[in-house]
Amino acid sequence: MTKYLPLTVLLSGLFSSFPALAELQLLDDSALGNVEGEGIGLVLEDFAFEAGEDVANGNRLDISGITNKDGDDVVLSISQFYIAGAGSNQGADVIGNPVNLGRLLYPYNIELVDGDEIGIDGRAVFEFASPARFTGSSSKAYSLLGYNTESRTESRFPGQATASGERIDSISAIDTSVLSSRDSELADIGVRFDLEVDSVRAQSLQAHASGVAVDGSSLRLWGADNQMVSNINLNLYIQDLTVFACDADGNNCGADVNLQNFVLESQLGYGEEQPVTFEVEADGNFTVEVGSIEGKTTAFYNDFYTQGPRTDIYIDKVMVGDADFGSATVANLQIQYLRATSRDL
Amino acid sequence: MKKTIITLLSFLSVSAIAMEPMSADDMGMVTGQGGVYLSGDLTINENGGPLNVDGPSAWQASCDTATADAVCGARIAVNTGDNAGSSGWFVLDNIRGRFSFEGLTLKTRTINSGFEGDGAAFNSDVLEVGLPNSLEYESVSLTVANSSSARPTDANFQQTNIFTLNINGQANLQGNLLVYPTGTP
Repeated sequence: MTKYLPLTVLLSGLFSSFPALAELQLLDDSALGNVEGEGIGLVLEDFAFEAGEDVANGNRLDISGITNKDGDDVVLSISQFYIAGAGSNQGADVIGNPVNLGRLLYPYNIELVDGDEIGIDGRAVFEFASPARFTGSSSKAYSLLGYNTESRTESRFPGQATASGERIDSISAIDTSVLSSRDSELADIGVRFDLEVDSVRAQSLQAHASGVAVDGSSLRLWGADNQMVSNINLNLYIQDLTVFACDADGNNCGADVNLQNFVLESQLGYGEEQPVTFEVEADGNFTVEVGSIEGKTTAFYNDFYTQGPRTDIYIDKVMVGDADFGSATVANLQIQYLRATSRDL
Repeated sequence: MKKTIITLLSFLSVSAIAMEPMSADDMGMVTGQGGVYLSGDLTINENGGPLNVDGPSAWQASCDTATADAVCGARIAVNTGDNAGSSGWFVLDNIRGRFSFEGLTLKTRTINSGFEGDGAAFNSDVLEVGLPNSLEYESVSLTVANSSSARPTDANFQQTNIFTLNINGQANLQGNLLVYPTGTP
């Protein structure tokens, strides 16, 4: 019997651990009520990407189907597209020089949002959002741009009621404290492509951006009247953007066009009141439309004036070669109606 | 010899007695480890497309025909719909080619440190998708187009191609994609 003792003890030990399984408990109604479908967070950790490099060994990434005015085929042949960490030296140092895109606490997020909470009543809204923005310290809330403003009262649409509100007079500063991405989480992104006209490599163009962030951007999609409707928030911050052209061999490059501290904050569409739609007509042409705000109430115009979607573009410094062209600002651009339609040539 | 056996047995029983029930908290700490290593190879429409009869001009049921620029790949047509009842289609046409990768990994990972201090505050499990070091493309192509009807064989078919994307060769990448629930699910 003694020799079975260890086995007996072992078995009793095993069985005695079973009560732990009995810890599974029923959730009561109030606890179940707290369970909520939330989003899916996505973070790219230590990420670097490079495509189209080493054309000599058959790597190609081509965009074709375009013709020039003489009817010759024009091919955009991408010889490098990259996403890397800071200091990529215009795409020379990509693999092994990674970047984190998104932060654990501020990830890229995919979520089905309750439309009632964001002014799209009774709809489930699909949302893809980039890392959130903080409230700015020296700028307006959730904007990189510190403004000097002035109060204006004017009509928002020809022939319609006037509305009052603050409008941007000038840009005083760039407030990067609104970015939830840290300096080390800003990417280098660039593309080199060759222009091939009628199978002859004609020119090489390059664009290299460093310190890129898209914090606060989002795409919202929902269905209304058998149609897909969207609202788009596009925020883009680039510390340094350099564009230049070279000859077909990539040599004898022209002067750099250099933009420093480029800020784009663009909102297209305003909930259900101003939907953004993409349609294809029966003749095969497409139409992009940002809904008209004509014939709305005065209360709507007042709201649109102060809270409505708008686009601000700011470039701290524009350089062409050694020439400094100073800064450029497009502020308070509000779209009342936009319709763009393609036509066959 | 007997002594040795007794000594061995006594060790066994001591370790067996040491097995204790786990508390629910301790059980909660047990997570599945290990993971999956994936390789993939996908070829789409190498020999023919979704048509079972030939459509107008270039659209072919089989890629084997001698027609230059034959459109024989897969086709995805989406009706964009609208109030006025227009019936245009947004189309990804002639989707063809071979795509392969080696070394995609899937596993779970607990993050409770690192990430410049975010890890400790995060203290949660994530699904880690380890990206393959390279993606191989072989004659991958697709055309973005607008069309009057879903199929090229429909009456009064019209299509405007916007651009065609061709990818050949290798794309290099590195890193992990971390996937996790956000908010308080």
